[in-house]
Amino acid sequence: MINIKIDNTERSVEEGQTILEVCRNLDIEIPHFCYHPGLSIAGNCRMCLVEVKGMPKLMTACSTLVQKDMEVLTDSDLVKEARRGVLEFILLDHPVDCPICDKSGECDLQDYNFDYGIDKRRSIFPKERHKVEKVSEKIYKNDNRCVLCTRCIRFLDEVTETHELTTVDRGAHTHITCVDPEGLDNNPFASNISDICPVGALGLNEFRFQKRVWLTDHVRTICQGCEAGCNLNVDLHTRQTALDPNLGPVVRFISANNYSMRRFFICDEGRYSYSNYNKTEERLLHPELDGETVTTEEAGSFLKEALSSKSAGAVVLSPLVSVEENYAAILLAEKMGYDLFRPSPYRKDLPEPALFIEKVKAPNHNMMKLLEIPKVTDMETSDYDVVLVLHSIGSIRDNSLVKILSLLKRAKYSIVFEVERSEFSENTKLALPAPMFLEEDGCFINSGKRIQRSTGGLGYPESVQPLWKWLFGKDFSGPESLLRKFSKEKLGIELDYDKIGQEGVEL
Amino acid sequence: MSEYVLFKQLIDPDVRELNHYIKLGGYEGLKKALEMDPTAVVEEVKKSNLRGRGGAGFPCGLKWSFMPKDDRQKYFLCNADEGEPGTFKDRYIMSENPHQLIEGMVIGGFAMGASVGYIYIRGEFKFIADQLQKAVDEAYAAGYLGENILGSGFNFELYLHLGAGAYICGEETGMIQSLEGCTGQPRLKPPFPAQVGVFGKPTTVNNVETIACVPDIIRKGANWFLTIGPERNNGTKIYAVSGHVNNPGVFELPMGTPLREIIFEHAGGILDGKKVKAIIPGGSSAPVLGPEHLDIAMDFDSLKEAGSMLGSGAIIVMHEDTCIVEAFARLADFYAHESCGQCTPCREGTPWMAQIIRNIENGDGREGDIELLYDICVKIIGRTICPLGDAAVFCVKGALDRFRDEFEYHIQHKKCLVENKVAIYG
Repeated sequence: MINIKIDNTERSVEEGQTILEVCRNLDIEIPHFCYHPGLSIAGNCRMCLVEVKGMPKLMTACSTLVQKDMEVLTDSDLVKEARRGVLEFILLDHPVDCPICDKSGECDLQDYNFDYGIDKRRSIFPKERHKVEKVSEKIYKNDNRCVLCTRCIRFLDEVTETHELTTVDRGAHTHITCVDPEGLDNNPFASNISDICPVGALGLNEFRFQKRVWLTDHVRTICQGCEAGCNLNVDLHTRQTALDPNLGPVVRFISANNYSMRRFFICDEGRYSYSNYNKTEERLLHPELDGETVTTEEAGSFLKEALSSKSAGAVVLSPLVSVEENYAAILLAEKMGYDLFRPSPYRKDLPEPALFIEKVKAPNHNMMKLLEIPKVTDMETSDYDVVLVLHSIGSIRDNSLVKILSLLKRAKYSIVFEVERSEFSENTKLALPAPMFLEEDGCFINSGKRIQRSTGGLGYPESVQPLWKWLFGKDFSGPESLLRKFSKEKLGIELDYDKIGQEGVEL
Repeated sequence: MSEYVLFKQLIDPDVRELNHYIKLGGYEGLKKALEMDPTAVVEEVKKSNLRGRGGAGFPCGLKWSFMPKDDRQKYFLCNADEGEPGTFKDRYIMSENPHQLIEGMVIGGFAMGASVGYIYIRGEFKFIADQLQKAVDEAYAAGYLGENILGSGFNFELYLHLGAGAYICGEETGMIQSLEGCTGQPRLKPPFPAQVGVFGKPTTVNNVETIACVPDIIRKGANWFLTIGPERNNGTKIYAVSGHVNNPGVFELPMGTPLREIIFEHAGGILDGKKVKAIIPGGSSAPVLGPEHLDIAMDFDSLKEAGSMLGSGAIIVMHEDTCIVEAFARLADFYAHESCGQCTPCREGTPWMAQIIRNIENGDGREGDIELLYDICVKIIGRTICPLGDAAVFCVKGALDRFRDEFEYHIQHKKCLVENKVAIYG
């Protein structure tokens, strides 16, 4: 640790970091376009210039390492003047078409311009115009808005190493061009360039003209696609407007930075999986007994009867379901002396493991491994009177599926707790509707043994209840109390949602 | 006339041939250097006060001493891009006295422990590169290049590389990028080339003229070099005089020769006996000087004191019938055209300046344009990755400072202050 002064305040900071990183950790904003935590330093936007005492020129905060006794000014008049200068230069050729730009509302250029920009154009010269171009099936490019930060180029050069984009021409004519549209089509990570674009130059065709971002609610969740546990920012469409009556509640998934995991990007499979959570036809919304819709009370009395039968029982947990819901089932099993099992997760339509796509296609598989829950296929007997199966959106291996189905068919009291109608709910006595991951807070343990929190921003329908409510009613105040109990009893540590925070805790 | 250090072709017109070069003491410096300790060679160059002739005037020996002393592969690069407008000096060293450059490269390579050298020549100099290649082949055949040079056990390979016509590739990191086969865009410093240069290895880049000074410094000793030119600005300098003079050309003179002597004695005075109006002393990036500076000594420190710089020593003379606005509109266009497009202030600022000056020149200037130009200058200078932005500002701001009245006249009267102005082409 070394001592430096930032804006005349003494700070103790870690050595080897840049001024920008230090300031980010201290919540001091330094505007920047080209810097991205997951990419190399380009230093070309010149937006992050700060004053360093003793230096003849302004220094780029993104590339200057902090040194002992350094004095940095991030908010001096000179620095503000420099920011104003850069913004004016950028806007010389920028169309300022925010009203029709999809980035509007979450655009760095827009934000910085409000803070530091000039309000009057001083150039009288016409702007250079380019046509909007569809560079791939998924992505469009609008050169007029581009600030040439080269984040997209560096992403494709350094992260995916596929090099589809490059700059061409020189000086003010410089622009970005796609040299391999087919490559971009087939690149399983290409859509990240729309997220990392600080302005509206690169966007997703699917999201184009769909929704103003300030009309959405944002929650931070964990991708359900595989056990990598990538962080997502989810835009939820909770305020219907006359313009978009047909939009589902989940508008889009975008990547969320997780500095502790050093993960800043998501795969396209995960990104476009948001539509899975908009389907309503298959959704199980009411409890069903023998295929007939019943009331919550009727379902509850069947549950009570089943659990008072005192015969042998089995609980099949789900790697697709959160820690809290699984733990509620575990508590039941422990109370009743039931056996615990887990299925093997599998999804054959997903791409091969690459970069941050993991082989196991379930978000909570590592919880099963951590607790050493035996596989359902390794089950020695199948004579259980009471069977509880947890399931969610996603799929499990065929042999596990067959085994669970046979369990359900042979049991006297078969109970399935799931989100969407599946073969399980068709072959069970009681089907309980479960909230999906965006409807209820929950934690997931990823392949790096990091427990991360997913926020339920949507809230679940009235007829739907989480499992702990079905099983324990008012014994728990909410999912957080289950997590507290789980971490204390199973992990031997004290955890709560605040401690897990946005970036999770490594176990 | 002083002695010729670099232009040995003026002593022997056939010095480009190896045996003629050797007759004039060629490769003696190399022999002497190879018997010395590499650090002693660096010290000798340091002692000679040899300063970089490419523009910045950075002490050459000091630059060499920045190279790490470990046994990593190191590279020695010669910057023969000669892109600065008005400069045409290095070409005559390469075409007429190429062995001196080659000898300097080998000595430099030996001093810094670099076993590979590249000469980055601008693409337009293809015919010069061919001549230089001939000399390189000769030097290889005679054992001055290649393995075990003169039985010393030192190896040095020398390659020529043709540029593709970009001003920015005269900037050392831009050149390194171009040499690697990438787009010629300067790199962010630090790391400096002495740590991470071409192909990620320690690299030193020097101008042709600088390197060509080295053999004689080693052969005759640093003390001999110190006898030429004023203190801290030692040696001879090649001045390339162009513009409105009777005898434009290149002249090798001791550093610190008065500007008046260069223009009126060597370059034959001003065309048609007219008066001097403006002199750019060191390539277009040096702030322009006026007739009152004619008695200035042409060396690094004197010009710096006068608010300009020696740069590459390219003197552009403009006489009284020149429209300054037109001339600098042309120069501002040059910088806008040559900006690499990487960092924002230069990419956007240089064309904006060029557009405004072109507008003023066309009679469409508006009140406040001059203040706007000054403001753009402030927003570019010192805020770019490489010095191209600074160079454009020096050029434009120098003209605004000195000839503000002419710009104002253009804006107010929508015409040129100069009657019967001479044409500027391009």
